[in-house]
Amino acid sequence: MENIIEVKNLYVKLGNREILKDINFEIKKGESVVIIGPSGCGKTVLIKTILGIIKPVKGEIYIFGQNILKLEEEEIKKIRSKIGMVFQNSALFDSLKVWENVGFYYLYHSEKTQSEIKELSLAILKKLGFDESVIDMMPEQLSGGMKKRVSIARALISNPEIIFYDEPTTGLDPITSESLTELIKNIHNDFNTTDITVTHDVKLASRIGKRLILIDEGKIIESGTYEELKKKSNHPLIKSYVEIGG
Amino acid sequence: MKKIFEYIGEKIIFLVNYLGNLSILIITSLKKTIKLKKKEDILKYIKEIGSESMPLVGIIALFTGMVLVMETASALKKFGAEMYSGGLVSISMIRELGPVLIALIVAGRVGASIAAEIGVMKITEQIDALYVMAVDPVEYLVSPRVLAGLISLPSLFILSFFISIFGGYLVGVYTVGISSGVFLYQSFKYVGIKDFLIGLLKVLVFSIIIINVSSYQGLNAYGGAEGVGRASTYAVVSSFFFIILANLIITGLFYFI
Repeated sequence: MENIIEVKNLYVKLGNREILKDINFEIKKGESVVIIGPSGCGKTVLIKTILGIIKPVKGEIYIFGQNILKLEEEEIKKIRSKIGMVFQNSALFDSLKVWENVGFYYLYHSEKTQSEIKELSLAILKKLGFDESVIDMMPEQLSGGMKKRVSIARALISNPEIIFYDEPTTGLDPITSESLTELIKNIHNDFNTTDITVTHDVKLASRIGKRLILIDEGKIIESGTYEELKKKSNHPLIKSYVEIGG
Repeated sequence: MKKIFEYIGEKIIFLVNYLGNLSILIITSLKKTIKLKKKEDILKYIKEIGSESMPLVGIIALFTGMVLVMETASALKKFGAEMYSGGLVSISMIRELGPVLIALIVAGRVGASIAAEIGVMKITEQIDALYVMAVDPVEYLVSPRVLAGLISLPSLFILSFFISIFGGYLVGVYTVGISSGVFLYQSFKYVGIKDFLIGLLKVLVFSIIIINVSSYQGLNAYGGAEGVGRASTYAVVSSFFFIILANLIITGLFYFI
């Protein structure tokens, strides 16, 4: 299967701090990969760098076979239109209603009418378990779990080929966290997306990740399926993760 | 000694970086203002920047016009020239006081709110969300405000000019005793099209400064609520500084040319 994302020899610095060092991996079309590691190890910086939001010091990032670091902004925009992202704190636009948040991509990029976009938003929200009453709500009226699901709806509306999830279960109660984990699995199967999830939640990682990439202090220390990682549990960090993950 | 040089060097690099990035933002936002994709938000921003500033601008212009006549008429009276106070109000309001006062009011009122709004969007990853959805934050957040500012500030400028004359008129006619016709004649006699254009140029430049400096602070906010507060403060202080500096440069240009 073809590589949809390829990261080669990536180094990222924020200020004087070296956040990522010599990162190399590839993700194949249709894979569900989890990037796991302790808080502050550079996971979020890694996905923001892949998305072109943070500029690396050195390295190559290929998405759909194109090195995004050598592309013009307009070309990067075309690539981003095939990508969805669910942010850690949902990142819904405070001043927009739920349907405007979900349909933002079309509001900005298409000539569709507002009622058409509202219909599209409602359709995707219904797939994620919402009813009609939510569409005219403001983000501040939603619970944490609802915000996450609206954020997922926003990521899905443009039919992305790749979806990034940044700490999708952080800050949620165990029941909501469980239902969100199921939702992510279902979306992966139903929408045939390539998923890249960043988390420090081992249970989530073991359930949704067909492959895990373990990062610590800005470096990849191991990669493989959960079962493969279990076998290599002589590394102290892997050992502690395996113990938690069961 | 080495630490002092390091400190000075750091500050110079910061300043060069700041001025460079701010210049890039100004050029980019102006370019994107010309080719603006979505214009729906412009009316909302005109309301925020222009309409909602109108009461404050009006009151300050009224009082400024009154004070100018109070201060000048008493001095001019000694020479029997108090009727010229109307001309003094109009000339100073159209070339100097009007543009600077409006710019300072708008920078204080709107600049802080722009920096805070964009700053919150930055720290809550809403700006990153825009990038991911292939939306340029400058095009979406800054350029519509620049266009709204370019419409609002000249309108406020014209309004403040007439209100200040009215304020001066109230004091000049009813307190100093200048005849109504003479005051109005003197008020408009010395104001030429060149004076109006200089004033207009100033408010246009000031509006570009306020919106871009405030947006820049918001777009570069970091560190939670404290960072947003810091961005708002810097937005106002930096806007004030650049307004006064730009005023000096424009006045100087027209003084020497």
